[in-house]
Amino acid sequence: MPDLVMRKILEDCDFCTVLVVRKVCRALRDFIDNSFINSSLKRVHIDISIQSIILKVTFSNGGKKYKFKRIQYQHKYEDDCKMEISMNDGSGRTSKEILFENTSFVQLFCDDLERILRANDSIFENISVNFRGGPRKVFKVVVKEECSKIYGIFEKVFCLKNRRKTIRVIEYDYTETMTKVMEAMERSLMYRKLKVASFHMYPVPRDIQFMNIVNNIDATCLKKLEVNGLQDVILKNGVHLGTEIIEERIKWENMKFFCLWPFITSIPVQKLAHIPIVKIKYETISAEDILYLKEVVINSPATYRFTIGSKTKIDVNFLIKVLGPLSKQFYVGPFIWCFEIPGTRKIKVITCNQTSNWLVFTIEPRYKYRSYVVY
Amino acid sequence: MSVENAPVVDVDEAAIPVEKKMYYRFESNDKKEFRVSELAIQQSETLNRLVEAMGYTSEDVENKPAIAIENIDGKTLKLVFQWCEHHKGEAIPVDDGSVPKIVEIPEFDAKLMDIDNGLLFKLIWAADYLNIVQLLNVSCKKVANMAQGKTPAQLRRVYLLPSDEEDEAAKRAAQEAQDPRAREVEEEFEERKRQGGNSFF
Repeated sequence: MPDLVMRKILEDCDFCTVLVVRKVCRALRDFIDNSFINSSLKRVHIDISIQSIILKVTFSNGGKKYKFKRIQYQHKYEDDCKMEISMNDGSGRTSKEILFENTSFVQLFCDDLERILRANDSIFENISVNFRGGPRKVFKVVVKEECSKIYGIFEKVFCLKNRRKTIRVIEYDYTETMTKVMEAMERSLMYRKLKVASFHMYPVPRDIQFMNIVNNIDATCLKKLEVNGLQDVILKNGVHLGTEIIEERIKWENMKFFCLWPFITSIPVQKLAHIPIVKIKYETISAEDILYLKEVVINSPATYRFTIGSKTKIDVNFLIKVLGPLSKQFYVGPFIWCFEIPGTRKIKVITCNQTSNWLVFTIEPRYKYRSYVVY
Repeated sequence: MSVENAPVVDVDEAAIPVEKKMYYRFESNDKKEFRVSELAIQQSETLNRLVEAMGYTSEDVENKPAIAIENIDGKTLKLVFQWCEHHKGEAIPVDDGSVPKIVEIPEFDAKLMDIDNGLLFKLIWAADYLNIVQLLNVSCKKVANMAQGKTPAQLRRVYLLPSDEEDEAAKRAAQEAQDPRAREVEEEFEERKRQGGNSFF
Protein backbone atom coordinates (compact mmCIF):
# COMPACT_ATOMS: atom_id res chain seq x y z
CA MET A 1 0.00 0.00 0.00
CA PRO A 2 1.44 3.46 -0.87
CA ASP A 3 2.62 5.55 2.11
CA LEU A 4 0.09 8.30 1.43
CA VAL A 5 -2.78 5.83 1.56
CA MET A 6 -1.45 4.21 4.74
CA ARG A 7 -1.23 7.65 6.33
CA LYS A 8 -4.76 8.46 5.26
CA ILE A 9 -6.13 5.25 6.75
CA LEU A 10 -4.28 5.83 10.04
CA GLU A 11 -5.52 9.42 10.23
CA ASP A 12 -9.06 8.11 9.85
CA CYS A 13 -8.53 5.77 12.81
CA ASP A 14 -8.92 7.12 16.32
CA PHE A 15 -5.68 7.39 18.26
CA CYS A 16 -6.29 4.28 20.41
CA THR A 17 -6.79 2.22 17.25
CA VAL A 18 -3.48 3.57 15.88
CA LEU A 19 -1.77 2.29 19.04
CA VAL A 20 -3.41 -1.12 18.56
CA VAL A 21 -2.43 -1.19 14.86
CA ARG A 22 1.12 -0.40 15.95
CA LYS A 23 1.23 -3.70 17.82
CA VAL A 24 0.20 -5.78 14.80
CA CYS A 25 3.58 -6.23 13.14
CA ARG A 26 7.04 -4.75 12.83
CA ALA A 27 6.36 -3.12 9.46
CA LEU A 28 3.34 -1.21 10.79
CA ARG A 29 5.22 -0.27 13.94
CA ASP A 30 8.10 1.13 11.91
CA PHE A 31 5.71 2.96 9.61
CA ILE A 32 3.80 4.61 12.46
CA ASP A 33 6.97 5.52 14.35
CA ASN A 34 8.73 7.01 11.37
CA SER A 35 5.97 8.76 9.50
CA PHE A 36 4.12 11.91 10.40
CA ILE A 37 0.57 11.04 11.34
CA ASN A 38 -1.82 13.69 12.50
CA SER A 39 -4.09 12.45 15.23
CA SER A 40 -7.04 13.80 17.16
CA LEU A 41 -5.05 13.67 20.42
CA LYS A 42 -5.04 17.16 21.89
CA ARG A 43 -4.08 17.12 25.57
CA VAL A 44 -1.91 14.92 27.77
CA HIS A 45 -1.87 15.24 31.52
CA ILE A 46 0.50 13.16 33.65
CA ASP A 47 0.19 12.98 37.40
CA ILE A 48 3.11 11.19 39.08
CA SER A 49 2.85 10.09 42.71
CA ILE A 50 4.67 7.50 44.79
CA GLN A 51 2.20 4.70 44.34
CA SER A 52 0.60 5.46 41.01
CA ILE A 53 0.77 7.42 37.79
CA ILE A 54 -2.30 8.88 36.17
CA LEU A 55 -2.34 9.52 32.45
CA LYS A 56 -5.23 11.54 31.07
CA VAL A 57 -5.42 11.92 27.31
CA THR A 58 -8.03 14.10 25.64
CA PHE A 59 -9.11 13.75 22.03
CA SER A 60 -10.86 16.17 19.79
CA ASN A 61 -14.11 14.70 18.56
CA GLY A 62 -14.54 17.08 15.63
CA GLY A 63 -15.62 20.64 16.34
CA LYS A 64 -15.39 21.75 19.95
CA LYS A 65 -16.32 18.41 21.52
CA TYR A 66 -13.68 16.47 23.43
CA LYS A 67 -13.55 12.94 24.72
CA PHE A 68 -11.04 11.67 27.21
CA LYS A 69 -9.40 8.55 28.53
CA ARG A 70 -7.97 8.33 32.04
CA ILE A 71 -5.55 5.54 32.83
CA GLN A 72 -4.25 4.98 36.32
CA TYR A 73 -1.18 2.75 36.69
CA GLN A 74 -1.03 1.54 40.27
CA HIS A 75 1.49 -0.39 42.31
CA LYS A 76 -0.18 -3.48 43.76
CA TYR A 77 0.67 -6.25 46.20
CA GLU A 78 3.64 -8.46 45.16
CA ASP A 79 4.92 -6.01 42.52
CA ASP A 80 1.88 -6.30 40.31
CA CYS A 81 0.44 -3.40 38.41
CA LYS A 82 -3.23 -2.57 38.22
CA MET A 83 -4.40 -0.48 35.31
CA GLU A 84 -7.70 1.32 35.74
CA ILE A 85 -9.06 2.76 32.53
CA SER A 86 -12.03 5.07 32.40
CA MET A 87 -13.32 6.68 29.25
CA ASN A 88 -15.81 9.31 28.33
CA ASP A 89 -16.63 9.41 24.66
CA GLY A 90 -19.33 12.03 24.98
CA SER A 91 -22.16 9.50 25.21
CA GLY A 92 -21.26 8.15 28.64
CA ARG A 93 -18.52 6.94 30.91
CA THR A 94 -17.15 3.38 30.82
CA SER A 95 -14.40 1.84 32.90
CA LYS A 96 -12.38 -1.35 33.19
CA GLU A 97 -9.48 -2.77 35.21
CA ILE A 98 -6.58 -4.93 34.10
CA LEU A 99 -4.04 -6.59 36.38
CA PHE A 100 -0.49 -7.16 35.12
CA GLU A 101 1.45 -9.65 37.21
CA ASN A 102 5.09 -8.94 38.04
CA THR A 103 5.08 -5.76 36.03
CA SER A 104 6.39 -2.43 37.17
CA PHE A 105 3.71 0.23 36.95
CA VAL A 106 6.39 2.79 36.06
CA GLN A 107 7.69 0.71 33.16
CA LEU A 108 4.19 0.05 31.84
CA PHE A 109 3.39 3.75 31.96
CA CYS A 110 6.69 4.75 30.33
CA ASP A 111 6.12 2.30 27.46
CA ASP A 112 2.63 3.70 26.87
CA LEU A 113 3.77 7.32 27.07
CA GLU A 114 6.59 6.71 24.64
CA ARG A 115 4.18 5.08 22.18
CA ILE A 116 1.71 7.94 22.49
CA LEU A 117 4.29 10.66 21.91
CA ARG A 118 6.08 8.82 19.12
CA ALA A 119 2.96 7.97 17.15
CA ASN A 120 1.63 11.51 17.07
CA ASP A 121 2.68 14.34 14.82
CA SER A 122 -0.14 16.83 15.26
CA ILE A 123 0.17 19.81 17.58
CA PHE A 124 -0.86 19.12 21.17
CA GLU A 125 -2.88 21.88 22.79
CA ASN A 126 -1.43 21.10 26.17
CA ILE A 127 0.98 18.74 27.91
CA SER A 128 1.25 18.97 31.67
CA VAL A 129 3.28 16.95 34.12
CA ASN A 130 2.45 17.13 37.80
CA PHE A 131 4.92 15.76 40.33
CA ARG A 132 3.30 14.90 43.63
CA GLY A 133 5.03 13.91 46.82
CA GLY A 134 7.04 16.92 47.87
CA PRO A 135 10.52 16.98 49.35
CA ARG A 136 10.05 14.13 51.80
CA LYS A 137 12.75 11.56 52.55
CA VAL A 138 10.62 8.44 53.10
CA PHE A 139 7.09 7.60 52.04
CA LYS A 140 4.98 4.82 53.51
CA VAL A 141 2.62 3.21 51.08
CA VAL A 142 -0.01 0.60 51.89
CA VAL A 143 -0.64 -1.82 49.06
CA LYS A 144 -3.60 -4.17 48.99
CA GLU A 145 -3.83 -7.58 47.34
CA GLU A 146 -6.49 -7.87 44.68
CA CYS A 147 -9.03 -10.49 45.66
CA SER A 148 -11.86 -12.21 43.84
CA LYS A 149 -15.42 -10.91 44.10
CA ILE A 150 -16.48 -13.94 46.17
CA TYR A 151 -13.68 -13.26 48.65
CA GLY A 152 -14.83 -9.67 48.68
CA ILE A 153 -18.37 -10.76 49.76
CA PHE A 154 -17.00 -12.98 52.52
CA GLU A 155 -14.75 -10.17 53.62
CA LYS A 156 -17.82 -8.14 54.48
CA VAL A 157 -19.77 -11.06 56.04
CA PHE A 158 -16.99 -12.50 58.19
CA CYS A 159 -14.97 -9.32 58.60
CA LEU A 160 -12.04 -10.95 56.81
CA LYS A 161 -9.20 -8.63 56.05
CA ASN A 162 -7.64 -8.27 52.63
CA ARG A 163 -3.93 -8.90 52.57
CA ARG A 164 -2.13 -5.62 52.91
CA LYS A 165 1.47 -4.66 53.33
CA THR A 166 3.24 -1.42 53.93
CA ILE A 167 6.15 -0.64 51.71
CA ARG A 168 8.67 2.08 52.33
CA VAL A 169 9.51 4.21 49.34
CA ILE A 170 12.59 6.30 49.86
CA GLU A 171 13.16 9.59 48.07
CA TYR A 172 15.65 7.89 45.74
CA ASP A 173 12.95 5.47 44.45
CA TYR A 174 10.55 8.32 43.79
CA THR A 175 13.27 10.29 42.00
CA GLU A 176 14.03 7.22 39.92
CA THR A 177 10.35 6.96 38.93
CA MET A 178 10.31 10.58 37.83
CA THR A 179 13.62 10.21 35.99
CA LYS A 180 12.27 7.19 34.09
CA VAL A 181 9.24 9.20 33.00
CA MET A 182 11.47 12.05 31.81
CA GLU A 183 13.69 9.56 29.95
CA ALA A 184 10.65 8.03 28.25
CA MET A 185 9.63 11.50 27.07
CA GLU A 186 13.18 12.19 25.85
CA ARG A 187 13.33 8.89 23.95
CA SER A 188 10.08 9.68 22.17
CA LEU A 189 11.58 12.99 21.00
CA MET A 190 14.67 11.42 19.48
CA TYR A 191 13.16 11.34 16.01
CA ARG A 192 11.03 14.45 15.92
CA LYS A 193 10.42 17.59 17.94
CA LEU A 194 7.49 17.78 20.29
CA LYS A 195 4.77 19.99 18.83
CA VAL A 196 2.89 21.51 21.71
CA ALA A 197 1.25 24.89 22.27
CA SER A 198 1.35 24.83 26.06
CA PHE A 199 3.85 22.84 28.13
CA HIS A 200 3.54 22.82 31.89
CA MET A 201 5.58 21.03 34.61
CA TYR A 202 5.11 21.54 38.33
CA PRO A 203 6.53 21.30 40.97
CA VAL A 204 9.74 19.94 39.49
CA PRO A 205 12.01 18.32 42.10
CA ARG A 206 15.66 19.29 42.28
CA ASP A 207 17.25 16.25 40.63
CA ILE A 208 14.93 16.02 37.66
CA GLN A 209 16.55 16.86 34.34
CA PHE A 210 13.96 18.39 32.06
CA MET A 211 16.01 20.68 29.82
CA ASN A 212 16.42 18.00 27.12
CA ILE A 213 12.65 17.98 26.78
CA VAL A 214 12.38 21.78 26.70
CA ASN A 215 15.15 21.93 24.09
CA ASN A 216 13.26 19.44 21.92
CA ILE A 217 9.97 21.31 21.83
CA ASP A 218 9.21 22.78 18.42
CA ALA A 219 9.81 26.52 19.05
CA THR A 220 7.40 27.62 16.32
CA CYS A 221 4.41 25.95 18.02
CA LEU A 222 5.20 26.78 21.63
CA LYS A 223 3.08 29.59 23.10
CA LYS A 224 3.29 28.84 26.79
CA LEU A 225 6.15 27.27 28.73
CA GLU A 226 5.76 27.01 32.45
CA VAL A 227 8.16 25.03 34.62
CA ASN A 228 7.83 25.62 38.34
CA GLY A 229 10.30 24.06 40.72
CA LEU A 230 10.04 23.21 44.38
CA GLN A 231 10.57 26.61 45.96
CA ASP A 232 12.21 25.70 49.26
CA VAL A 233 14.66 23.12 47.95
CA ILE A 234 15.79 25.23 45.06
CA LEU A 235 16.17 28.45 46.99
CA LYS A 236 18.51 26.70 49.40
CA ASN A 237 20.65 25.00 46.81
CA GLY A 238 20.36 27.35 43.86
CA VAL A 239 19.83 24.93 40.99
CA HIS A 240 21.40 26.19 37.76
CA LEU A 241 19.84 25.12 34.50
CA GLY A 242 21.99 24.40 31.49
CA THR A 243 20.29 26.75 29.02
CA GLU A 244 23.09 26.98 26.44
CA ILE A 245 20.98 25.38 23.68
CA ILE A 246 18.17 27.87 24.29
CA GLU A 247 20.64 30.76 24.27
CA GLU A 248 22.33 29.68 21.06
CA ARG A 249 19.69 28.07 18.87
CA ILE A 250 16.10 28.44 19.96
CA LYS A 251 13.91 31.34 18.84
CA TRP A 252 10.48 31.57 20.40
CA GLU A 253 8.61 33.80 18.00
CA ASN A 254 5.09 32.89 19.07
CA MET A 255 5.70 32.58 22.80
CA LYS A 256 3.18 34.43 24.96
CA PHE A 257 4.04 33.11 28.41
CA PHE A 258 7.43 32.02 29.71
CA CYS A 259 8.16 30.87 33.23
CA LEU A 260 11.23 29.00 34.46
CA TRP A 261 10.99 29.55 38.19
CA PRO A 262 12.86 29.52 40.56
CA PHE A 263 15.71 27.89 38.65
CA ILE A 264 18.74 30.02 37.91
CA THR A 265 19.38 30.53 34.23
CA SER A 266 21.61 32.59 31.99
CA ILE A 267 19.19 33.26 29.10
CA PRO A 268 19.77 36.91 28.07
CA VAL A 269 16.81 39.20 28.82
CA GLN A 270 17.04 40.46 25.23
CA LYS A 271 15.96 37.01 24.05
CA LEU A 272 12.83 37.10 26.18
CA ALA A 273 11.84 40.78 26.11
CA HIS A 274 9.31 40.28 23.27
CA ILE A 275 7.27 37.79 25.33
CA PRO A 276 4.31 39.46 27.09
CA ILE A 277 4.57 37.51 30.36
CA VAL A 278 7.95 36.33 31.65
CA LYS A 279 9.16 35.01 34.99
CA ILE A 280 12.85 34.19 35.16
CA LYS A 281 15.67 34.14 37.66
CA TYR A 282 19.39 34.94 37.40
CA GLU A 283 22.41 34.76 39.63
CA THR A 284 22.54 38.58 39.70
CA ILE A 285 20.72 41.36 37.86
CA SER A 286 22.89 43.83 36.00
CA ALA A 287 22.26 47.58 35.51
CA GLU A 288 22.25 47.02 31.71
CA ASP A 289 19.44 44.45 32.00
CA ILE A 290 17.36 46.79 34.17
CA LEU A 291 17.80 49.75 31.81
CA TYR A 292 17.10 47.53 28.78
CA LEU A 293 13.85 46.25 30.28
CA LYS A 294 12.84 49.75 31.36
CA GLU A 295 13.09 50.86 27.71
CA VAL A 296 11.42 47.74 26.31
CA VAL A 297 8.31 48.23 28.45
CA ILE A 298 7.36 51.38 26.50
CA ASN A 299 6.97 49.48 23.22
CA SER A 300 5.43 46.40 24.72
CA PRO A 301 1.82 45.18 24.51
CA ALA A 302 -0.72 46.25 27.12
CA THR A 303 -0.51 43.06 29.17
CA TYR A 304 3.20 43.14 29.84
CA ARG A 305 4.70 41.62 32.95
CA PHE A 306 8.40 40.79 33.15
CA THR A 307 9.43 39.33 36.49
CA ILE A 308 13.14 39.01 36.97
CA GLY A 309 14.52 37.33 40.06
CA SER A 310 17.99 37.31 41.55
CA LYS A 311 19.79 34.78 43.70
CA THR A 312 21.85 37.49 45.36
CA LYS A 313 20.08 40.13 47.39
CA ILE A 314 18.83 43.14 45.44
CA ASP A 315 20.26 46.36 46.81
CA VAL A 316 17.76 49.25 46.71
CA ASN A 317 20.55 51.85 46.65
CA PHE A 318 21.90 50.20 43.51
CA LEU A 319 18.44 50.41 41.94
CA ILE A 320 18.10 54.08 42.91
CA LYS A 321 21.41 54.72 41.16
CA VAL A 322 20.15 52.98 38.02
CA LEU A 323 16.49 54.04 37.94
CA GLY A 324 16.54 57.34 39.80
CA PRO A 325 14.63 58.32 42.94
CA LEU A 326 11.88 56.11 44.28
CA SER A 327 8.29 57.00 43.42
CA LYS A 328 6.84 55.29 46.43
CA GLN A 329 8.01 53.22 49.34
CA PHE A 330 5.25 51.53 51.27
CA TYR A 331 5.56 51.17 55.01
CA VAL A 332 5.65 47.40 54.60
CA GLY A 333 6.00 46.18 51.08
CA PRO A 334 7.68 46.83 47.79
CA PHE A 335 9.66 49.77 46.43
CA ILE A 336 8.06 51.36 43.39
CA TRP A 337 9.29 53.41 40.44
CA CYS A 338 6.69 54.87 38.10
CA PHE A 339 7.36 56.42 34.69
CA GLU A 340 4.77 58.05 32.48
CA ILE A 341 4.58 56.82 28.90
CA PRO A 342 4.13 59.99 26.79
CA GLY A 343 1.01 60.16 24.64
CA THR A 344 -0.74 57.24 26.35
CA ARG A 345 -2.94 56.70 29.36
CA LYS A 346 -0.51 54.11 30.72
CA ILE A 347 2.28 54.19 33.24
CA LYS A 348 5.22 51.83 33.39
CA VAL A 349 5.80 50.54 36.87
CA ILE A 350 8.89 48.85 38.24
CA THR A 351 8.32 47.08 41.52
CA CYS A 352 11.08 45.69 43.69
CA ASN A 353 10.26 43.08 46.27
CA GLN A 354 13.34 42.89 48.42
CA THR A 355 12.26 39.98 50.59
CA SER A 356 11.62 37.72 47.60
CA ASN A 357 14.45 39.26 45.56
CA TRP A 358 12.62 40.06 42.40
CA LEU A 359 11.88 43.01 40.15
CA VAL A 360 8.66 43.29 38.17
CA PHE A 361 8.32 45.46 35.06
CA THR A 362 4.66 46.12 34.22
CA ILE A 363 2.39 48.57 32.47
CA GLU A 364 -0.49 49.83 34.55
CA PRO A 365 -3.44 52.16 33.91
CA ARG A 366 -2.60 55.81 34.59
CA TYR A 367 -5.30 56.35 37.24
CA LYS A 368 -3.81 53.75 39.61
CA TYR A 369 -0.30 55.19 39.82
CA ARG A 370 -0.71 58.83 38.69
CA SER A 371 0.10 60.29 42.09
CA TYR A 372 3.39 58.34 42.31
CA VAL A 373 4.92 59.54 39.03
CA VAL A 374 8.11 61.51 39.47
CA TYR A 375 8.25 64.40 36.96
CA MET B 1 -51.50 40.48 -23.98
CA SER B 2 -52.48 37.45 -21.94
CA VAL B 3 -50.60 34.20 -22.07
CA GLU B 4 -53.53 32.41 -23.69
CA ASN B 5 -53.54 34.86 -26.62
CA ALA B 6 -49.79 34.61 -27.34
CA PRO B 7 -48.96 33.35 -30.86
CA VAL B 8 -47.84 29.74 -31.05
CA VAL B 9 -44.55 29.21 -32.86
CA ASP B 10 -43.60 25.78 -34.06
CA VAL B 11 -40.05 24.88 -33.09
CA ASP B 12 -38.00 22.58 -35.23
CA GLU B 13 -36.36 20.44 -32.53
CA ALA B 14 -33.75 19.14 -34.94
CA ALA B 15 -32.50 22.70 -35.44
CA ILE B 16 -31.54 23.09 -31.75
CA PRO B 17 -27.90 22.07 -31.28
CA VAL B 18 -27.89 19.26 -28.67
CA GLU B 19 -24.53 18.65 -27.08
CA LYS B 20 -23.76 15.02 -27.61
CA LYS B 21 -22.48 13.14 -24.58
CA MET B 22 -19.06 11.69 -25.17
CA TYR B 23 -18.22 8.26 -23.83
CA TYR B 24 -14.54 7.33 -23.61
CA ARG B 25 -13.43 3.76 -23.92
CA PHE B 26 -10.94 2.29 -21.43
CA GLU B 27 -9.36 -1.13 -21.31
CA SER B 28 -8.16 -2.95 -18.19
CA ASN B 29 -5.00 -5.07 -18.04
CA ASP B 30 -7.11 -8.21 -18.59
CA LYS B 31 -8.54 -6.71 -21.82
CA LYS B 32 -12.00 -5.78 -20.52
CA GLU B 33 -13.45 -2.68 -22.12
CA PHE B 34 -15.50 0.01 -20.36
CA ARG B 35 -17.39 3.03 -21.70
CA VAL B 36 -17.31 5.97 -19.32
CA SER B 37 -19.00 9.36 -19.67
CA GLU B 38 -16.94 12.52 -19.90
CA LEU B 39 -18.55 13.88 -16.72
CA ALA B 40 -17.74 10.74 -14.74
CA ILE B 41 -14.10 10.91 -15.84
CA GLN B 42 -13.79 14.32 -14.18
CA GLN B 43 -13.84 12.55 -10.79
CA SER B 44 -10.41 11.12 -11.64
CA GLU B 45 -7.72 13.76 -11.91
CA THR B 46 -5.35 11.38 -13.70
CA LEU B 47 -7.86 10.25 -16.34
CA ASN B 48 -9.23 13.76 -16.80
CA ARG B 49 -5.76 15.11 -17.57
CA LEU B 50 -5.08 12.17 -19.85
CA VAL B 51 -8.20 12.67 -22.01
CA GLU B 52 -7.63 16.42 -22.09
CA ALA B 53 -4.09 15.88 -23.32
CA MET B 54 -5.29 13.42 -25.96
CA GLY B 55 -7.89 15.88 -27.27
CA TYR B 56 -10.15 13.13 -28.72
CA THR B 57 -13.21 14.04 -30.76
CA SER B 58 -16.32 11.79 -30.64
CA GLU B 59 -15.14 10.12 -33.88
CA ASP B 60 -11.69 9.47 -32.40
CA VAL B 61 -13.28 7.86 -29.36
CA GLU B 62 -15.15 5.39 -31.58
CA ASN B 63 -12.43 4.75 -34.15
CA LYS B 64 -9.23 4.72 -32.13
CA PRO B 65 -8.35 1.84 -29.81
CA ALA B 66 -9.54 1.99 -26.17
CA ILE B 67 -7.26 3.78 -23.70
CA ALA B 68 -5.32 1.09 -21.87
CA ILE B 69 -4.99 1.21 -18.04
CA GLU B 70 -2.20 -1.25 -17.56
CA ASN B 71 -2.09 -1.47 -13.78
CA ILE B 72 -5.72 -2.19 -12.95
CA ASP B 73 -7.75 -5.34 -13.62
CA GLY B 74 -11.26 -5.43 -15.01
CA LYS B 75 -13.01 -6.32 -11.75
CA THR B 76 -11.49 -3.33 -9.95
CA LEU B 77 -11.92 -0.95 -12.87
CA LYS B 78 -15.61 -1.87 -13.08
CA LEU B 79 -16.07 -0.79 -9.44
CA VAL B 80 -14.11 2.41 -10.03
CA PHE B 81 -16.18 3.43 -13.03
CA GLN B 82 -19.44 2.45 -11.31
CA TRP B 83 -18.47 4.81 -8.50
CA CYS B 84 -17.48 7.59 -10.94
CA GLU B 85 -20.76 7.31 -12.88
CA HIS B 86 -22.81 7.46 -9.68
CA HIS B 87 -20.95 10.51 -8.37
CA LYS B 88 -20.48 12.33 -11.68
CA GLY B 89 -20.86 16.09 -11.48
CA GLU B 90 -20.20 16.18 -7.73
CA ALA B 91 -17.62 18.61 -6.39
CA ILE B 92 -14.19 17.16 -5.63
CA PRO B 93 -13.35 17.64 -1.92
CA VAL B 94 -10.25 19.58 -0.93
CA ASP B 95 -8.09 18.33 1.97
CA ASP B 96 -7.91 21.06 4.62
CA GLY B 97 -5.55 19.05 6.83
CA SER B 98 -8.01 18.89 9.74
CA VAL B 99 -7.99 15.88 12.05
CA PRO B 100 -10.21 13.96 12.73
CA LYS B 101 -11.63 14.05 9.22
CA ILE B 102 -15.38 13.76 9.06
CA VAL B 103 -16.06 11.33 6.21
CA GLU B 104 -19.49 9.82 5.82
CA ILE B 105 -19.88 6.74 3.65
CA PRO B 106 -23.04 7.05 1.50
CA GLU B 107 -25.29 4.02 1.11
CA PHE B 108 -24.29 3.44 -2.52
CA ASP B 109 -20.58 3.51 -1.62
CA ALA B 110 -21.12 1.19 1.33
CA LYS B 111 -22.83 -1.34 -0.96
CA LEU B 112 -20.15 -0.94 -3.61
CA MET B 113 -17.42 -1.59 -1.07
CA ASP B 114 -19.16 -4.61 0.42
CA ILE B 115 -16.49 -6.82 -1.16
CA ASP B 116 -13.67 -9.05 0.00
CA ASN B 117 -10.54 -7.47 1.47
CA GLY B 118 -8.35 -8.25 -1.52
CA LEU B 119 -10.65 -6.42 -3.90
CA LEU B 120 -11.11 -3.55 -1.44
CA PHE B 121 -7.34 -3.01 -1.26
CA LYS B 122 -7.16 -3.13 -5.06
CA LEU B 123 -9.94 -0.53 -5.17
CA ILE B 124 -7.99 1.74 -2.79
CA TRP B 125 -4.85 1.28 -4.81
CA ALA B 126 -6.76 2.14 -8.02
CA ALA B 127 -8.38 5.21 -6.39
CA ASP B 128 -4.91 6.40 -5.38
CA TYR B 129 -3.42 5.66 -8.81
CA LEU B 130 -6.25 7.37 -10.70
CA ASN B 131 -6.35 10.16 -8.11
CA ILE B 132 -10.07 9.89 -7.28
CA VAL B 133 -10.08 11.90 -4.05
CA GLN B 134 -13.53 11.11 -2.69
CA LEU B 135 -13.33 7.39 -3.54
CA LEU B 136 -9.99 7.27 -1.74
CA ASN B 137 -11.53 9.07 1.25
CA VAL B 138 -14.45 6.68 1.62
CA SER B 139 -12.43 3.55 0.99
CA CYS B 140 -9.76 4.56 3.52
CA LYS B 141 -12.51 5.34 6.01
CA LYS B 142 -13.96 1.88 5.40
CA VAL B 143 -10.58 0.25 6.21
CA ALA B 144 -10.20 2.48 9.30
CA ASN B 145 -13.69 1.45 10.46
CA MET B 146 -12.75 -2.20 9.98
CA ALA B 147 -9.83 -1.76 12.40
CA GLN B 148 -11.96 -0.09 15.08
CA GLY B 149 -12.27 -2.06 18.34
CA LYS B 150 -10.16 -5.01 17.19
CA THR B 151 -7.21 -6.59 18.97
CA PRO B 152 -3.80 -6.92 17.25
CA ALA B 153 -4.45 -10.66 16.75
CA GLN B 154 -7.82 -9.99 15.11
CA LEU B 155 -6.23 -7.34 12.88
CA ARG B 156 -3.57 -9.82 11.78
CA ARG B 157 -6.34 -12.23 10.75
CA VAL B 158 -8.36 -9.53 8.94
CA TYR B 159 -5.45 -8.04 7.02
CA LEU B 160 -3.51 -11.32 6.69
CA LEU B 161 -0.43 -9.88 8.34
CA PRO B 162 2.34 -11.86 10.05
CA SER B 163 3.13 -11.46 13.75
CA ASP B 164 6.62 -10.33 14.79
CA GLU B 165 7.64 -13.94 15.46
CA GLU B 166 6.35 -15.17 12.09
CA ASP B 167 8.01 -12.23 10.42
CA GLU B 168 11.35 -13.02 12.04
CA ALA B 169 11.03 -16.71 11.23
CA ALA B 170 10.31 -15.90 7.59
CA LYS B 171 13.30 -13.56 7.48
CA ARG B 172 15.53 -16.21 9.03
CA ALA B 173 14.28 -18.80 6.58
CA ALA B 174 14.96 -16.48 3.67
CA GLN B 175 18.43 -15.75 5.01
CA GLU B 176 19.19 -19.42 5.50
CA ALA B 177 17.97 -20.24 2.03
CA GLN B 178 20.44 -17.70 0.71
CA ASP B 179 23.36 -18.88 2.84
CA PRO B 180 23.52 -22.69 3.41
CA ARG B 181 26.70 -22.31 5.54
CA ALA B 182 24.73 -20.24 8.09
CA ARG B 183 22.26 -23.11 8.47
CA GLU B 184 25.11 -25.57 9.02
CA VAL B 185 26.61 -23.35 11.71
CA GLU B 186 23.20 -23.05 13.39
CA GLU B 187 22.70 -26.82 13.35
CA GLU B 188 26.19 -27.38 14.75
CA PHE B 189 25.46 -24.89 17.53
CA GLU B 190 22.17 -26.62 18.39
CA GLU B 191 23.94 -30.01 18.45
CA ARG B 192 26.61 -28.72 20.84
CA LYS B 193 23.94 -27.22 23.06
CA ARG B 194 22.17 -30.56 23.24
CA GLN B 195 25.45 -32.21 24.22
CA GLY B 196 25.69 -29.89 27.21
CA GLY B 197 28.22 -27.31 26.12
CA ASN B 198 27.42 -23.75 27.11
CA SER B 199 29.58 -21.97 24.64
CA PHE B 200 29.89 -22.48 20.95
CA PHE B 201 33.65 -22.01 21.06
